[in-house]
Amino acid sequence: MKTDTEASSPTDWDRPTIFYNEYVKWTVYLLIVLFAAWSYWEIRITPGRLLVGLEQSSQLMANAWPPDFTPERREMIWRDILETLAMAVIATIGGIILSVPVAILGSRNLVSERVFWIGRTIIATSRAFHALIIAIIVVKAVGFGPLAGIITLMIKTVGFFGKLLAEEIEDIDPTQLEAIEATGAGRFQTYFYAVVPQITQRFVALSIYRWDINLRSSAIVGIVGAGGIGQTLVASFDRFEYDFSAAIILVIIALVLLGEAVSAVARKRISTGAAGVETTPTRDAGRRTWNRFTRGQQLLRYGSVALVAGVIVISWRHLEMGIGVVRTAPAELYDLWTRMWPPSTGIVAEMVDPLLTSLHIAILGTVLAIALSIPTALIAADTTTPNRVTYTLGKLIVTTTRSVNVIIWVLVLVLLLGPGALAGVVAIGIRSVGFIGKLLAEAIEEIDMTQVEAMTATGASRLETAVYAIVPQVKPAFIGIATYRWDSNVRASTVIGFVGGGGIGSLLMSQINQFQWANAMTILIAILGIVLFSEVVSAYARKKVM
Amino acid sequence: MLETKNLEKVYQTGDRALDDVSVTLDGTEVVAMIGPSGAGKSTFIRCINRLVEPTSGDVWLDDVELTALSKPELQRERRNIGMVFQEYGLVERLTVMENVLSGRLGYVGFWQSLRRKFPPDAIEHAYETLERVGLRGYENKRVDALSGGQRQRVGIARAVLQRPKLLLVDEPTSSLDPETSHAVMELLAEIAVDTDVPVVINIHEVHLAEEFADRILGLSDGSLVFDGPPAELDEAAKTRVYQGATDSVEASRSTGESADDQLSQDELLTKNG
Ligand SMILES: Nc1ncnc2c1ncn2[C@@H]1O[C@H](COP(=O)(O)OP(=O)(O)OP(=O)(O)O)[C@@H](O)[C@H]1O
Ligand SMILES: [Mg+2]
Repeated sequence: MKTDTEASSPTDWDRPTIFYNEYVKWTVYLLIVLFAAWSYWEIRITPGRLLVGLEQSSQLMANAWPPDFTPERREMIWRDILETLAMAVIATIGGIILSVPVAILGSRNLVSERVFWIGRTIIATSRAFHALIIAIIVVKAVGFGPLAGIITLMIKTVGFFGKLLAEEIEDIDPTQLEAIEATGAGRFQTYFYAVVPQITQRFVALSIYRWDINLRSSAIVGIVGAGGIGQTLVASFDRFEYDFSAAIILVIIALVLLGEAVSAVARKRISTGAAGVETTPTRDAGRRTWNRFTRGQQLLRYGSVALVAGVIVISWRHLEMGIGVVRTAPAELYDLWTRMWPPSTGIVAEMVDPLLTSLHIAILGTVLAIALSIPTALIAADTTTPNRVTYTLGKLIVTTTRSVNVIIWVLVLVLLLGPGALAGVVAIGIRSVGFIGKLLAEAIEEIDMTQVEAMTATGASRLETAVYAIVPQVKPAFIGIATYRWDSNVRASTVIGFVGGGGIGSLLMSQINQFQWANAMTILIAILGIVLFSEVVSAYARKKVM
Repeated sequence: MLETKNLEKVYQTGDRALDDVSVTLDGTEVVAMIGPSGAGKSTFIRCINRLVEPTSGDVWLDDVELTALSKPELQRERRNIGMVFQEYGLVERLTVMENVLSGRLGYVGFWQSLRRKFPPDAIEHAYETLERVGLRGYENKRVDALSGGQRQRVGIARAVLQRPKLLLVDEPTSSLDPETSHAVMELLAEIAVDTDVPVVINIHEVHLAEEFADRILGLSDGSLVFDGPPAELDEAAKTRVYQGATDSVEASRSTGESADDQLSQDELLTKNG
């Protein structure tokens, strides 16, 4: 850190700033505040509207309670859940297989500079769009149903997995690579001897994690017709069967929590299992044979491969998809591409306004989330929570807000607050509370208490202690969490219009429904630009505070 | 036989790491290359198997011009050159046996290597070599569970398994304690005799070089400033290697590098004294 304020007088001290100077700093802050104020003005949030919403909510509660779990409804839900699960499984495995070559292309230490940029472009594009945007396009290309959902999730998996795997590959120890190369091993032998062992553990952990995420997504892509339980959910809203909606939402929450628990347990086992040394007894050292694995281990390995294959086959059969779709899907996607390119400029004037609305929604949603999540985190962290009751309340808020997707929040809030940007803002705010609250609470739990004690020992007050000992410890984590959430909120703000939450989503959907593909392309490019720009800004902010 | 002719390496950063180095190594010599940090020792070794591409000059191994080989030819020729790395260069998460057998990767097909199926004579050789380097019974331990000295022995075993025509060793002792260093050097010297190949060892500790080498090369700022048997490495020669700037003809050295060299000289003195 450097500062331009030269110490002309020893009695004068200013805290060095990470900005160039104080003026820049305050200008930046002022700009942020002004922008937020502008957003506030544009969305026109008034206490009156929120009050109406509160009134509506008791009405809705009455309609939605008790949830409709009658036998035929149960059967419907069960069928949809199986479809959702099957989609998540196939998409995860297929997506991971596709993402391995993409990750290799995107690893600077394995390929040439030009290939690297190709790989990274693929990754960045697939990451930039919300799953629902991809879904709505894929549905048009391959028709309604789970196949569209699977393709969508596979594309998203390639972005996520490709990026993290590439980062992992770039982090490997290069001398291990060189050493194998120096023995005269071939390119692929080098990959399998020097790269694979270094990344296996993380690879497995990431796969499980991605399955968890895909499960969440496969529960909502149905909203635009891409299969899974989301389809039934939207239908229930359209038919005003709110008690059925409530049942579905409860089941989705249960499914998401279950998926999360399974994934957490599995990842933990992997990380502890690898700490020990793998030893394989040689059967007969005298005969000087050597096998990497014993018979039992070998069987176990084949067994797990067979198990995975079995799950895929079962999932595939469950979805009743012919193998033919695999052959036709690429052609159809290509066909779509030819209709989208070149993008048309006719839509530009029309799209500026909804794009700005999307941005405002993202900004206000994030501000709202931050405002709500700080107290939530304080009561959900066991070091700062006043008592057991507040602690439980904090955990409850965090869990329920996190496990319901932002789109489902929009569906509910549109009923309460009417369609429009306000519902979107509140939905994003609520969804983000859980995310920021959870991670912030963890950061608070991890702070070094001796620093707090030391500050207390100087005779500082509680508030001073918080400002001097807690805030500096939590601040980098907080900025990191908030900016990551900002990134996902920007993406979310582009799709909440699909279900009436305002922003660019409704325009995009109408263009697609009218088959105005060239217009849709223009909108997609604009979204890509905004998402990438916001990502660059937030990455810069993170780098400054880390 | 290894021969380098006018070997030169200029890195993209502009560092001239090697400047006109010509040497010929024969038979079962143990050749120690000494020189201060940054003198270009590692660069020299890496230019031989072309982990680093030399800027100009030729490298010959027997009657093959290494510097003229295409990528696939080079890959095949690398099988004949064993290399031992400063930081071991082992694949940490594989077992000792897999690391040792990786010295045969150039001879087995991809699919075989994937299934860890190596020919019986390679496995036999691996067992013998593990015994040779004192690691009997360690074959199924994972490398990250070994000590530094043990890891370096695995690294040596891997190189031996290549049945190389030349062994390149880059600072085998820099991460080891003095006693282990001694043992590792002893092992390398014995292996040179046993397997009948020339060995080039980069090393910081001059007393180890004097003890184990048949011949010493002194590198200073990329140039060869000493070449002779240990007996000829007198104080004047050491000064020439480690403080080239003060009395040699090359006067164009940056101050930063001189400070570096001074440091190595100090290290050297403490280690010897
Ligand atoms: N990859 C590289 N890119 C740019 N310059 C390099 C690179 N590797 C080495 N150099 C430079 O080349 C010179 C010689 O480096 P080299 O590693 O060969 O020295 P060394 O004698 O092995 O030193 P040490 O005893 O510290 O290992 C140094 O000035 C170094 O900074
Ligand atoms: Mg070196």
